[in-house]
Amino acid sequence: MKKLVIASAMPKAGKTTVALGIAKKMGGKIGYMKPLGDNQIYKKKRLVDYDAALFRDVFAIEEPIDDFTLGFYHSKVLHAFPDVKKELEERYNRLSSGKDFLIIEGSEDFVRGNSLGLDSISVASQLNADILLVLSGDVYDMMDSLSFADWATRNKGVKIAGAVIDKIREDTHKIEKEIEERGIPLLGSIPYIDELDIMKAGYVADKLFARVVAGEGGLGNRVRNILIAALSVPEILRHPDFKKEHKLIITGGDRSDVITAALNDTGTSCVVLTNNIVPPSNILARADRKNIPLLSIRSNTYTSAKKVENIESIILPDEKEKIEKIREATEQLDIKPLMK
Amino acid sequence: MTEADLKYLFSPRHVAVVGASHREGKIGYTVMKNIIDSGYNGKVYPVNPKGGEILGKKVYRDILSINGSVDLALIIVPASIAVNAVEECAKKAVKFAIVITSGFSEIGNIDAEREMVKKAREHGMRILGPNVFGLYSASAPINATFGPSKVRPGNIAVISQSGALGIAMIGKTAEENMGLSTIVSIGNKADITEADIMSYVFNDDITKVIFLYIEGLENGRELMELVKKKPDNMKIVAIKAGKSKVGARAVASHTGSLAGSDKIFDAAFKQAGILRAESLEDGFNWVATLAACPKPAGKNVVIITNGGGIGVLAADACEKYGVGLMNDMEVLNKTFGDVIPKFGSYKNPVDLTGQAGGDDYKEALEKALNEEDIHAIIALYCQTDMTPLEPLKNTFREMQRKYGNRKPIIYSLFGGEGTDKIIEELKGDGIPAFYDVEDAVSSLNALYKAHEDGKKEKRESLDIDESRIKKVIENVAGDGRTQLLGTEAKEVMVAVGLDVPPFKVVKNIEHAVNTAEEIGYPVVMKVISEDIVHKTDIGGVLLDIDNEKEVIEGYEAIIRNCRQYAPNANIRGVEIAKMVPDGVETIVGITTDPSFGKVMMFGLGGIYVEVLKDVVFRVAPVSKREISKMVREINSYSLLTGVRGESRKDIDSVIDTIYRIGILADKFPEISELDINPLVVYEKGAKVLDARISIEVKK
Repeated sequence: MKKLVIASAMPKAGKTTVALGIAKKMGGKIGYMKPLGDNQIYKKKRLVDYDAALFRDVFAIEEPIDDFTLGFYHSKVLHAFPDVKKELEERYNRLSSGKDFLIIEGSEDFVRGNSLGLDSISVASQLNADILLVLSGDVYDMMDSLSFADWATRNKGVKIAGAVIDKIREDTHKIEKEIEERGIPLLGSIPYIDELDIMKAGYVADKLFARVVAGEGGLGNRVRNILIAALSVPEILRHPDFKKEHKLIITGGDRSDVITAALNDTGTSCVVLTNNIVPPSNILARADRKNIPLLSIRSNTYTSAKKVENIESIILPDEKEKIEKIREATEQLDIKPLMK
Repeated sequence: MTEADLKYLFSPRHVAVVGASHREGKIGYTVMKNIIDSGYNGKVYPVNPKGGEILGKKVYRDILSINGSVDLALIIVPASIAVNAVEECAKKAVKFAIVITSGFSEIGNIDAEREMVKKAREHGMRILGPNVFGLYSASAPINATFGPSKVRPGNIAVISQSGALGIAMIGKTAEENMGLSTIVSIGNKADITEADIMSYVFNDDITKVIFLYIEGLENGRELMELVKKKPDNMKIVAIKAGKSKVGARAVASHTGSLAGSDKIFDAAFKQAGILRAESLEDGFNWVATLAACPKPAGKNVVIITNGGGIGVLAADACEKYGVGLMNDMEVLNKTFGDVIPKFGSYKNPVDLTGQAGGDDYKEALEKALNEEDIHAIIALYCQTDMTPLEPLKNTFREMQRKYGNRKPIIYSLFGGEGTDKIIEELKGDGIPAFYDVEDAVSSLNALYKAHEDGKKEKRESLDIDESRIKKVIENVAGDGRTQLLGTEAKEVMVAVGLDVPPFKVVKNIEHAVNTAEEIGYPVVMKVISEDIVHKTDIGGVLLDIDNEKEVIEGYEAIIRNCRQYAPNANIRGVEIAKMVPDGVETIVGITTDPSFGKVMMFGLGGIYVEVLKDVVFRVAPVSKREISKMVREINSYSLLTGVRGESRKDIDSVIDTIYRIGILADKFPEISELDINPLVVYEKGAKVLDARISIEVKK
């Protein structure tokens, strides 16, 4: 059984994307664990990791999802498990049993979880697994990550089995050379996948803890662009961002004029209503008819816009287009070095 | 210098008109003419630098050259010289100046207005205005306005904040033949306000009804306190214009965001026993009725009509307005059985049938007016060709003369020119007569409302832990905060004597688990941070936590959510509280209104408070009796009394809660806003689930 820790020195490098791609290429029975969760969803009194849910659904993993993650928060892990290492080992044994390939998704960077022994390098060391290093960002961010990763892994006696450069937007020649010079196999590079920036309206609602006051049928609508509608309606209609597709509009719940204009536009996916003001029933009815969700939150427009901006797009199990794009983009990765 | 008694404003011994005009059509001429034509007995001194004579009176070039004393001066000069004119009047020891001139604070010229008042006050002179139409006073008598000259003296005082409307009201009162004790506009209220005028009118021995038109009140609370001092038999009808929109204010409390100024005015008027009319028509109708009719001895109203249709309309209107119709068939039969024809009806409405004439009405009305159990009468007439109108009119007049001061009788006639003429004539006699039966019933309802028992209730003293509340507030202020944490607000609620489910703040998972076990499942978990106003918005509130595992995951979820969505927030801990069963969710609140001070709110609460807005207001302090009325006013009151087989909820506990919150607001004026949302009401008791308190920290 092959096991691999997918790790990055910095957060949001694209570990889940790479893990998904690699797992698809590997084939066979796939297992998954993510010792320290970071992408939580609390629903129906249960706390699970989004990425864990993704892998469970995509690869039809039968083990209970609770087993994939020891916890999200240090104090919980320490409270629940007197012997964290022992627990990690036991979970590993359960989750790898009968599997051809176990993906172990590391913590957000090399630091988080270190005091618990749940950082990526410590986990790789304890479970005797290699690391697949994911690099992204500008060239010098990647240089820093690579340099640190190389030093830290050597110190811990952990092998970097390969590196993947993710979210390419510029020339990677320099970093590729550096990887080669360090003797680390470069498995390939993945371009920036625009599709991964798209979020579903329902996901936005969850992340904002918003009340869906209308248009529930449109919670699957795709959101790519965000517009804060703080202008008069004629100005908004003229605004270039208003002409974009798959847009989420943020406006005060009392701006019936803006909401109506948004609902009348075919490119609107979702409207966030701020200040906990719900528009009149005729507008709610229109949103229902058009299947455009109206999400009500209490915060003011500025705070709401910040929150929306900070929502990290993820891959949800039912986002087949994203998963397919990832598969296509990772098709060219060379996984032979991982098999050694 | 002492200030003159307002008596000399209403009954000046001698008057000067500064800016009197030689030219007909000018305000300065009209005012002179009105004063003279009104039969004013004192000396009238026109003042104009041109000198000469106006309407037979010698014109003085300035007020200082007048030999005799002057109590009242009317200033009708341009704004640019008005301040000097006022100063001269003040030096002349004039007691009151009515500044008719406009062009002051209403157009932003505040400094000149302040200067004018300052100059006046230096010599003990008071100013009415500026920007007014003058004053009519029956006690003088004097018509010192530039409005219609003919004003009938009577017992109605009209006080208007609008000059133009006030002038029009003079005309309207003349048309309606309403007798006035005074009509005065207060204009810019630079000095004398409606409160000053009202406090005079309360003691003038003539006025029975005050008709007030206002647009804004700087000190509403002062007005409410003043109205408490009015004579019991004096009634006030008010029109308050300028309804404000409730904008989406980003305030911390629901109460603050739901309390628009118009709703508060509504509440304040109700509490003060001021009848608020929505239209001028209603206002005039009510005033005329209140002036003409005595207090009803009870709630039994009888409709006497010659037409079934109009009788039904009247009955419908009575239901709409909540006017009680007598339904004691025995008494109705005994009273009217003999006076109705065979095909008539005594069953209220009492139908005399279409052939009824003056004599039939007389018989029926006299029976009704002599029956002790009938307390008020609505007499309706539909014009038919069978009945001569003159005897009918005479009957109505006779009934009014004989019984009008014992029992309210309201008339409504429907028909053509003939009935319209009768109505006019009846009105001319001060008899409440209406073209529309709805107006008649609305006016009768106003009469009942005006005489509602406004007995003062002694305030119950309550045992609240003031020192504990003081400590919490001091800690918050010491921290430099203006918003209490949820748990601090709950502590205050406990100190006030309210039922708050057990709660504790924990700072780690172990403590969370132990506390949950101690309190007992199920529990709720909420983040405590002064930096997180809307906890639900960041996943900081979890409900229905049933066991240790859920506590652990819940704690983890809350802390991670806070880290993610409010990374800079100061997290003081997580509150673990007992989760209580469902009940009727209500909201109790306090907000601070700039005019009325502390205002209380009650209504349907929970997550729908901002959607349904089913809330009512009262100006604090509020008696338990008033709270009881307040609670009954919400549209969803039936949820508390029990619907669809549900049991009646503990309304007394709601009343007690609101009362206690009122005491809290009274004893701790530094509390600027407060929400209890929800206050969950059960069959027995009510529990505070969440509270939010804002304080004012004095710098």
